[in-house]
Amino acid sequence: MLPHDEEDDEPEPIDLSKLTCLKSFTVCLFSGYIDRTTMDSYRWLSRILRTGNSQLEEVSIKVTSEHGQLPVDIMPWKDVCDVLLSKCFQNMSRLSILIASSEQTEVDAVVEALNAFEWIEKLRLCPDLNVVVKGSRFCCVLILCIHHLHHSSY
Amino acid sequence: MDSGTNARALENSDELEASHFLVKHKALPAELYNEIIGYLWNDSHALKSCALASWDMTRPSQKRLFHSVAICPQPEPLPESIPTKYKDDPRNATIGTFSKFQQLLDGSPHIAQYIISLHLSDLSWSYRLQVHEFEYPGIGFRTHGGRRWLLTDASLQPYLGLLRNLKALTIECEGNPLEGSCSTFRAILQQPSLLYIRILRSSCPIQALNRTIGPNIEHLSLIDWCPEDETSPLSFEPPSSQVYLKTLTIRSPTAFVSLMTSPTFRLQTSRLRRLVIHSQSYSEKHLATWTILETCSSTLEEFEFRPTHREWCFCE
Repeated sequence: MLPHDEEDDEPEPIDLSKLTCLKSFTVCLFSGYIDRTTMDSYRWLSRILRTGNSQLEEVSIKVTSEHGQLPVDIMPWKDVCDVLLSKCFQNMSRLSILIASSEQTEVDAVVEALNAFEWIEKLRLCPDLNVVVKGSRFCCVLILCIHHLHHSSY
Repeated sequence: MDSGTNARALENSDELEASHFLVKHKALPAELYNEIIGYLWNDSHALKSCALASWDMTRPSQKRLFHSVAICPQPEPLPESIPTKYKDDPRNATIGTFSKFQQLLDGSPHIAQYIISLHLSDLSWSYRLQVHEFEYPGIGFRTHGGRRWLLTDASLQPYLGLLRNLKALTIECEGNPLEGSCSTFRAILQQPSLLYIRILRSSCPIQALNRTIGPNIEHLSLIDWCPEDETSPLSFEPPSSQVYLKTLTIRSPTAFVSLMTSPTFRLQTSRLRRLVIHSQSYSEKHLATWTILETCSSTLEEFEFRPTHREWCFCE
């Protein structure tokens, strides 16, 4: 299992509070099914976020199921939002959450649920904090690249 | 004089007036042409037209057209199973092959100085297409191979030598682009103008890169790299000056940290402003990530952490 805070003997090595110039933190999370069991990395993220950084201005969280099914379960976000609401992130001015999956219906369901989630609402009530929750269906990046290359061909 | 003749005479006089205007105002300031062409920076068709329309616009148009160049392998024909309508899709056209690049620089060598960013791709799956695009559910990805050229074509080296203003270089290939003492890329990697290097999908040893790149490199992206065969002899004197990176993208911080203690390791992270770590997740490996973060704790402005699905499986 992923390490749980209560069960961890060792503290999180990454200490965001010691990164004195840090303005932007971007993290990619996994949320999906492995052997029919829901697996996600929200707890892993919470562990890092708990180290806090009051200078941070922007936090971006990208959630992907990679090529599998995306669980429509927003409860794990409670812990993440709870940490982000703490004083450790008092200077945060932008929180971007991007939900990505190959299935548009899954993306829409998670984005809709998140936008209605009370903990996201709490974050939205913070002054000077812009919270953006968006969805994205996997697009074929390579095709887009090739398309771009074609336009700049010689 | 009939009305038709009058109309033609008027048209001719308009044309004459227009041509006189053009002759009279030909010498617009170069900055103005530059400004106008600047608006077309991402419209290659318009830039091509402008380059041919007037001598004054040729240079600024070419500068933007060839600012960023990609050289890709010659693609193989698409399989029969793909619907015809997609076979004519311009996205799958033959584009930017090395032979075309050679023709371009042989005919117009001045264009070499306009190339700021160069992407060299030699991957067999460059033309991977997503199934959804073809409405074939449940098949997976289709891949299309291409003729390998990057590590086999010796004629690339002299052309790279012409790119005196190159700032960014991306090498995307299977195999080690720095293999051998006469590597095609050694000279370009030490070129003073070069600031950014990105090596993708390659088995390029970081040690080889460490002793090859010039001290001016500020941005390094190594998504894939492999341990070096230490028995391979070094037939040239490596540069000794340190390389102070501003941005770094790596996949394996543990391997990177193990090299940091070496006295010959030139890649310094103490001035990093942006760090991207791919594919790390469980706390054991965070120690290595933190070791890098600690070296740049007073300069780092952006930190991106990108674990992957497979690593989560290891946590089970």
